[in-house]
Amino acid sequence: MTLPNSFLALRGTRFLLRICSLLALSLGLLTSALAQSDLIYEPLSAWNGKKVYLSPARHSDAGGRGECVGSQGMGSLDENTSAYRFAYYAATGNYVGSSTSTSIYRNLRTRGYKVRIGRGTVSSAISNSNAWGATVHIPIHSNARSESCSNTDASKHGTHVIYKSYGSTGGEGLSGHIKDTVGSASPGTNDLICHNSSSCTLFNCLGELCNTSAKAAYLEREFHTWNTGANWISTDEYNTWRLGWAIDLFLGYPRG
Amino acid sequence: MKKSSIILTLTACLTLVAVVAAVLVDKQAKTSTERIADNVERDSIAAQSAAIEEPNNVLDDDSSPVSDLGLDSNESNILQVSNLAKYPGFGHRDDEDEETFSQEEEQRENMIADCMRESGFDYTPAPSIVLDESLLENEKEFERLLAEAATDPNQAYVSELSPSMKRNYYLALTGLADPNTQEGLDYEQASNSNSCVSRAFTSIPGVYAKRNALAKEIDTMESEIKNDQRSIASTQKWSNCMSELGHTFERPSDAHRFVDQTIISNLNNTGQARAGDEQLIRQLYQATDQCASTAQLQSINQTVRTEYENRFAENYQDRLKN
Repeated sequence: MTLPNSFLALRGTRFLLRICSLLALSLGLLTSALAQSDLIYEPLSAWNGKKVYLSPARHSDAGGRGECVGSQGMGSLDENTSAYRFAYYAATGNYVGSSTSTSIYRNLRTRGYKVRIGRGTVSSAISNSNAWGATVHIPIHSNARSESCSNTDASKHGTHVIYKSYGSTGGEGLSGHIKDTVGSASPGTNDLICHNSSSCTLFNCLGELCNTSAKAAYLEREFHTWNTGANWISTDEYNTWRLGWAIDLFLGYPRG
Repeated sequence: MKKSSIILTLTACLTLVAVVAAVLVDKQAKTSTERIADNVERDSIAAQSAAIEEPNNVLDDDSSPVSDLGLDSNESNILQVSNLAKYPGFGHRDDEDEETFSQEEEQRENMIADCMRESGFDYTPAPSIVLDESLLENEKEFERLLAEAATDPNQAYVSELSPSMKRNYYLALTGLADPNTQEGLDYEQASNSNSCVSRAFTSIPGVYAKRNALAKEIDTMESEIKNDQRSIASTQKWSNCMSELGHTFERPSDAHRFVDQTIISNLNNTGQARAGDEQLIRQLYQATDQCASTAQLQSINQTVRTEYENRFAENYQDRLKN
């Protein structure tokens, strides 16, 4: 393969290793981050004028939320780190299914979106999403229920997406598309969308749905409390392109 | 070093390689149509796979550029100016708006730092970091940003605070004892508090604040634009043209939807591109462009949009100006 005449091609391995250490440091600090700067990824094709704010889980008790770990489950990941991986790959990953891909449909950037990944608190995610003028806002989580990791009942699990604003052009519409695209890949069969006021959530109103200006959908991509689901979450990168697909369906495939 | 840290480090490096590969792949895709065309001759199987995934790349250099489904480059000079373009933050001055946003964000972060100092706390500004392909051209700047991204400037300070001081820190900063609470009602109260974040946003609402405040009205306008008879007629004309060329789609976005469906259908079978699909998609993109031109899709949509936006600017001028 002929490499482009870029800086990286000229500097080679030494520079790559240097970047590796810096990025490793960045990810290593992730779990204890309090106010890391958000990352904004510019689109890799002409900007379609739309902005996607991805807000990965930042639970203080991540790792103690019933996550099934180990080789049968999600490895050494927890809800927070796996959600961040999902956000990263959805923004700029190179997988379509289990293969790397050059498809222009492989991630949000190649589909023409600007993507911002929240790395601070939930409070800063709400403020930053609104100030940035996000078009859609998607908190990324995994779900939990009281059960044994060895449970294999797929009908008790699946992708759940919570919304506040009704209608096909509101959070309800966005949630429906995410349920269809991501949910069709998740191992649980009980995929559903539900309104914020339902029993889906214990809160009066989830802050990232009720205090954000963008069309919002709160994604619980699968339950991490059964091995099958947790193991699927550990291969999130194969399915993150589906989030771009859902957002494109919701917004009508805007292109710059 | 803990096992989990080693795994994280390895993951990070693999991730980085993926990032770099993505940049290189995209850079190559953008700048080397000829090279990809050569690949078609050199390795037809690999080229077929690439072609279905990036149909634009297999177009000959002398083909009409297909930049977007539904947009015709020949119509690019007939865009009318909307009165909404007078107002920042409404999508007509994107570069300017984004620059304004960055400056405002930095100003807010500095205001928050000053405010926290007045409250007796340290706060280091942490504005967002923009990652762009152009970063790769400047080693020093790239390394500076990566180092910045790797550091939480406030972590060391906050982690040394006692639990009660930490609570006071977050109350002063955000108006919330727990800035990671999920409860929306807490955020409503916090937005009315005298916290440093709240004061910064009151002082600098931001370039997109008016658009946020008019979001419902914009939604209504977008719906009206979509349902305008001229837009519908133009789209119908596009659809009829596509039918004549052998493609059944109601609107341009359906063509993109078809490609996503093709990807899924391939995944469900072998995971590989099917022979013949790449040619179909190439024809589809060319047909889409041709029909957009025939139906004058862009110019009609632009005329309709300008009309509605002018009405919007007039109806809401008080809220747009103040």
